[in-house]
Amino acid sequence: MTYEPYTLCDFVRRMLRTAGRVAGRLGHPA
Amino acid sequence: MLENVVGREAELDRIGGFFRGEPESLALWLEGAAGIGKTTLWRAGIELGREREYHVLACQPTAAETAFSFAALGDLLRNDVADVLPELPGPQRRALEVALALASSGGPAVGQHLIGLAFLSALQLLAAREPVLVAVDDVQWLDPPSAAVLQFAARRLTTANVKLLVAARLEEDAQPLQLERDLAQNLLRVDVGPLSFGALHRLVLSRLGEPLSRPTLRKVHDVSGGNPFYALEIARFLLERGSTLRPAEPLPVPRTLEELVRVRLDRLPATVRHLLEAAALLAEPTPAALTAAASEPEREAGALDRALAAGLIELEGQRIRFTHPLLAAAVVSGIGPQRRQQLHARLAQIVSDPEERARHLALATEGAEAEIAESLEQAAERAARRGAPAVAAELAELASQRTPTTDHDARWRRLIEAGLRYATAGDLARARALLEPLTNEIPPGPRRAEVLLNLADFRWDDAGAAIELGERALAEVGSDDACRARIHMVLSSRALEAEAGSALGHSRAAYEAAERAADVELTLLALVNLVHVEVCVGEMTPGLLDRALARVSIDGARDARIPHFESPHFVLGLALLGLNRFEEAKALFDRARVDSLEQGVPFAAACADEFLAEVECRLGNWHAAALHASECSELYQQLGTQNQPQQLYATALVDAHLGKLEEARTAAERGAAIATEVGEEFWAIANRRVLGLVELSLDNPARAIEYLRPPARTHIASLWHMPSNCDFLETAIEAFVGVGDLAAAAQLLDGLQERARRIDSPWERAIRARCRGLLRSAQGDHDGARAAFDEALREHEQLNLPFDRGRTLLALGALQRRLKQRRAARVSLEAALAVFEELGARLWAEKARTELKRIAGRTPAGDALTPTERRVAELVAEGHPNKEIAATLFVTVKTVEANLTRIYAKLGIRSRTELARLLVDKSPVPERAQTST
Repeated sequence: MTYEPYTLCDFVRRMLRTAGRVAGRLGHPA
Repeated sequence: MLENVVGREAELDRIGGFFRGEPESLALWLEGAAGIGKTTLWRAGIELGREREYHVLACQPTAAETAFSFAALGDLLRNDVADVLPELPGPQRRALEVALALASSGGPAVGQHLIGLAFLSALQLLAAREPVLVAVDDVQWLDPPSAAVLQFAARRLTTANVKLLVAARLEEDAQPLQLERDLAQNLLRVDVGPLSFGALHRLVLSRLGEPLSRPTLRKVHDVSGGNPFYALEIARFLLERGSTLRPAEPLPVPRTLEELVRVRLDRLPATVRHLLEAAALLAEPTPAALTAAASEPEREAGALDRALAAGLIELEGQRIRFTHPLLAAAVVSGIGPQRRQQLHARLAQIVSDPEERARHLALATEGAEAEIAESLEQAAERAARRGAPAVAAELAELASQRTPTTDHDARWRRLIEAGLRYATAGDLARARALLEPLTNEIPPGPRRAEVLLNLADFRWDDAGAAIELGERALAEVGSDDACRARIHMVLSSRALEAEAGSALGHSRAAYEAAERAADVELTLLALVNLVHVEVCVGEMTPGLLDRALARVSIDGARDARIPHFESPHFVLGLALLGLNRFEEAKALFDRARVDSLEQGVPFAAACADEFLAEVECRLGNWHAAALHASECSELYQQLGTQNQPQQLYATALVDAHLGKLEEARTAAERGAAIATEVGEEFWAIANRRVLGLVELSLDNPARAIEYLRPPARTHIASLWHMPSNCDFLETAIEAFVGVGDLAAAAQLLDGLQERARRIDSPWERAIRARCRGLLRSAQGDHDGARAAFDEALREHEQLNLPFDRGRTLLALGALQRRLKQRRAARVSLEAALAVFEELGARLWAEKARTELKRIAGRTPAGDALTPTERRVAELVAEGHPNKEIAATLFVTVKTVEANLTRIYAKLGIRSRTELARLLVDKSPVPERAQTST
């Protein structure tokens, strides 16, 4: 399996989520 | 070629203009209905490009449902890949080789971004030699991985030396393609419409060698709607039938274009039809492949030549193409279901690409079959390793559907695989739809725990649901310590957000489990996350941070197994930022940034840039800060997600420091509004603080307070113990002191003190001392103020934070001036001035100069109040609010505010209270003589 769940710290998770929300997407923007 | 283009003078003119840069645009977008003549113009465009010395990379994808990943990318780079590969950076070279199946796909999966980056680099390398034209026909049929790569590159192309020529079929109800949306600002659209009657006449004559009578041609033009492909087919039909139409006789032709084409195909010999059928189903038909596919090669030997002679297909090198995609579509739709399955079975035996073979196999039968499911699963794995997760997901899902129902294990494995691939490709909704039902099917145990963990990971918007799923996973995970560590990490991050208070416990458990699993990378990630949580919670385990720092070396190679978002450098950078160890944080963020750029992950690089901009502001490297802020904006622009509150914060902060106040205001106001809208208080506060700082720079504390009123829910913002929260409090204190609301300032100072109970640092001590000094000074406790400023400056001796130090010196100097300690005041203020001048802090240098001028004890003429200012000052001193003053003086509130700003600057005061006091002491206010103008 190549996918592994993120080990993100809370802060990075929130940054990704914010970016996703601003872009109108769920999850991460990249 | 160009002389074969009939009736398209206007379109050719626009294509010519595109190459001349009139108007300047990156892409030419030819759009029109099927058969309208896009491909003819697309080819003419290539011809015109070549005449202008463009190097052409072209692909013509087909609608074949067996197309494999990166087929179009392979076509685009076919002639150049050997030249370009050796010049690409290592990771990009490998990515491109694996994607194009030039190298084995063993090892870690290739990221989609890296392939995009490699293609972009390849284009730039080629464009450095000569202008490059990337030409894509029928863009709607690009295989999805190639489309993603093209989009990635198109968004980032900055050189004028690369142009795109795209033909797209216009279909009813079709959504615009992502590429088209991305290029919207930089795209020249040419709508390819019907041919005129005259042009149609010339076309029929030139292609079929004889004219139609005028009335017949009129009917053909009407029926075909000026569509050249349709019109030619009708004309061909009529000419072959050899009779002329009587007036009013309807055209004796099938009603639809497809039927018309079918009539033509049906008249071909069976051998030619069979050859065309195989060609239409193959992803990359070649003469050799068609010979291999033939059931009776000897009988079918002449078929290829006959198909070529009939103008149905053409040869491009060894590649066979239908002369028009409508022909291929008609061939496919004419194959009966049984014959189609036989053909796919035959083709599965002869094609070499595993992905294409698996697709042919799947299309050769219906229903479950172990062998087919197996080959689809293998194809899925291969596509995933080549960097095409969306294709891998689709193949794995197909594999699960073809798995015999009795084989639960294989079905679950394939469904899990499909779900996780969809997640990798960014389609979390599809991933959840596949995985959620499995939690009821799979019996409790480690396998179900893993599914639950992934579902928890997908719940970005619902911390409660994520925690519930994580806890269920934890109950079943058993002895799989690596999985247990990941479950604890998800729980830790979500617990911190939900304030469940168990974040620290989960982080520690994650670290222990990862160590037990002896998984080096996982242990490192768990360690840096634990350190970060310890900083957030304010409970540091002695020695743990040093252990993490020792493992995360700045110079070592990046660990390829650790995904970019999880950069341990970045997380440790955040922890050090929380501890106010700015220089060290900067080195870690910079390393994270470089890694992310190298890996082609703009988002992660942008995140690092945000914090680098902030840290460089603190460290006094404002030029570097500005570069990071602009790189940050650029990266988000490339991602197509502008107006991120964190990016606007970085931009605004730098502009505020540099005195570009209007720019700073615009960015920060937008950033604060967007952050509030998406519910991210942390970034709302950071942006509002910049707005406060801007107003303080203008000596406008009353307006600063508008932005700095303490937020209702400070706990979210303070969650991460970040220095920007301290900035917010510090700026607010200065503003409240400025307007004389000392109670509010004192309360905020308590808030600053509260932070120190968790973690303290020399920087925060210095900030607190300066704030205390400002408060004491306003309270009239001059000795207390003096001591506080001295304490702050002592802390600054160990720190390298010039702007903060300069502001402290300015505050001290102003106090000394008011206490008539002229020599000391001059020393402090000159030191402050030197700091501000070196930084380029224009407005703050001006403040220092103003204070210096006042030391002499005289008020220079330029600083006397004008009659309006005097009137405003008096009304303010009498306690009238700005609105009333504006009404009294028949001016706007803004004018009153502007006057007040000047009054404060001229009188060297900061608040209405001070103004009132001054007017009582010294009335009348000095007034400058009006000069006639």
